[in-house]
Amino acid sequence: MKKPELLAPAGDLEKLKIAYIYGADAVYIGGKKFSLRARASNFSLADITEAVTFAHNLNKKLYVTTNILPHNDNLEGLKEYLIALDKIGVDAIICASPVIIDTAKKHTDLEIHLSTQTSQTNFEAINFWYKRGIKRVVLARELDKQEIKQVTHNTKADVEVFIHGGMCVSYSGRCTLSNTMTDRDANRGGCAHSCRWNYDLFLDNEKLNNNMYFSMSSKDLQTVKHISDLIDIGVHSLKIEGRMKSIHYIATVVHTYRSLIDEICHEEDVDIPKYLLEIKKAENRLTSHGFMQGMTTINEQLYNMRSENPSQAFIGIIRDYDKATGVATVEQRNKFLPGDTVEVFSPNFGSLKFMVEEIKDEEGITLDAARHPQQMLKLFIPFVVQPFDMLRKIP
Amino acid sequence: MKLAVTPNHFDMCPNLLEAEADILIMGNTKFSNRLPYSFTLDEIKDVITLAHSNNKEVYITINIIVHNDLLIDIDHYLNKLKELDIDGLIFSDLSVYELAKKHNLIKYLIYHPETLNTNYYDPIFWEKEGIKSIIISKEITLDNLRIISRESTLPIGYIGHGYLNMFHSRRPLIENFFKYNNEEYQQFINNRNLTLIEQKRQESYPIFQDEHGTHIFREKPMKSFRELQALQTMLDFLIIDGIFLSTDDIVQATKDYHTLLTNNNQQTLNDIDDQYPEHDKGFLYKKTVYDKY
Repeated sequence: MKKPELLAPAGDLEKLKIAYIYGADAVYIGGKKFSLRARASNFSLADITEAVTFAHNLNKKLYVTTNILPHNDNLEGLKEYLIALDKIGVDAIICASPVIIDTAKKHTDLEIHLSTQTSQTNFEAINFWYKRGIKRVVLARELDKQEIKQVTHNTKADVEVFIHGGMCVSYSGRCTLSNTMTDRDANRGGCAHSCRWNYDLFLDNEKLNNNMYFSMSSKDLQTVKHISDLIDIGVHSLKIEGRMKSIHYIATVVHTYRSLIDEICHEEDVDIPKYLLEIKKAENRLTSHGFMQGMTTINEQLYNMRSENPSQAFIGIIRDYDKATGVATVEQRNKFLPGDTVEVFSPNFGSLKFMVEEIKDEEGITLDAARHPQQMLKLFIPFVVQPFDMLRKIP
Repeated sequence: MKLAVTPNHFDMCPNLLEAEADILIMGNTKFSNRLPYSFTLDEIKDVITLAHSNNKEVYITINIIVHNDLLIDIDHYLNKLKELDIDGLIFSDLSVYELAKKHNLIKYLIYHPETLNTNYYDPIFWEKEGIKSIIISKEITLDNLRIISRESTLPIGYIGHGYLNMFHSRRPLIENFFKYNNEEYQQFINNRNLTLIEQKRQESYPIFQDEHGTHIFREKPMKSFRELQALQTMLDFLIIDGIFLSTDDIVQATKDYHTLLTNNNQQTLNDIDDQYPEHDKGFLYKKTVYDKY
């Protein structure tokens, strides 16, 4: 059984390190230029250099998104930027536009992946690109497992499939709702998510939605139950969406799929309910399997509800641990108190619980509560923990 | 510059040719998105005969986003089309390129993926692939169209008149909404009299669901009479999209553009442009924001 790559997003260097530490085989990031998710794309060339070094030291891969559909005045510096990425040693770029693809082919040795922005839905189209030097294709999120299987078995290109995170309601890359309604170009990093807004639906002048707004909004993708099938199909890379998500989200989602993939590939009995519980701990919108089982139904849509479910469970991240004293340095993320039962979530041992005793600040002053985000705190933990382990409050 | 028009019925094709449409664009809804009318192969055959006898052309659209299960049907369809003496074949999905190659139809292909042809390099890329033409994305401004045209030796087209599509989902969004509310939905499928109004805006966007998913359009149809002289120097063909328009409106628009192409004096231009007060300029002057918000 071929073990697929687990590919995770990162919006900054800390998230990138978390993604690798918690089990991603590869991470994709955006640079300052030519990338969608403009607000998340804050990696300078120096940052990308650090990211590549970090990845390659772990024998892992780093991909950079250059996936906008550029207009004429967005092309300045493209060649130089791609050459710089090549020199830095990034493992691939993710592209949607022929001008970026051909510039990379002409001036660099960069491996090229075709972005989901081009909505690749069948093997003939994928083979068009494979014959033109595209090594890997990210499939459209509109394909069910049968279609993914047909594509994978009829192309020599590596196939990458989204397994988790946000979904465009439209075919990706073909939507200009945001352009029309807000002047923000969805295909150049400005998507205003107009498809998630509330609408009234009319037949001529008669309003048809009387009880609730007409909503097109989609639940997020979550495919824990389908990973085994995707591995059987021979999908090359399993991709998590969310360059703007938190470190806790990245850690939780990556670690869940990492453990799941490893168990399946070791042909162990897989406890799916355990993984479903675990992935729910990521602060998240409501989820569904998207198109995995065929055409979407009402169960894959969001109606009459706000879906965001910000979790208060993530209370801190370990920055240091003194094995001699058992005292950990913790960076606070949400309020907790002495007496709270806490779970340490670690890429090394899964999770272990303890009860918080005394909480001190960096000066050694005892606190009645951990109240301030990013305050450095000292607390005793009765087992060995490591930097980047995370603390969750048990309700 | 030629005028390319999508008829909303088989019976109106002679009227459009009489109105001096140079190209009729048509297809079958099984393989085409957002058509004003679905033509059978027999109808296409008849229109081609009629058009060619008037020295006019017929372009066929196969512009769906193709899923595997339709590849064989498209292959068969191309096999029939190649017997019909078509003048152009508009496609959106690269599977159609791959299949057209088998049928020796590459030289008829016109690439129109709605949103992907956005800069000067796109015609250069596609010229190397041996196709006939590409249609520049609707959200490209007049200024950018000028640059693309200047750099291009491949003929290019652009939608100049009618309703522009702005969203296509594979999801059956209308059906699912009514199902969620336990209401009948059949009457709202393939219904082209539905509109959406966003909670905080007063704009009314046409929406419909068909066998290929759910489609949403801009509120107002666009026009480009005042830009016609400029467009004439840039384009091989200008599209008048007939979706949501009446037969009379499509014919009249065709006549009006033709009039201005032959006699573009200021008075005629003003008179014609004044006849379309509800239309706007699409993206001709609407520069969308990149990375600055």
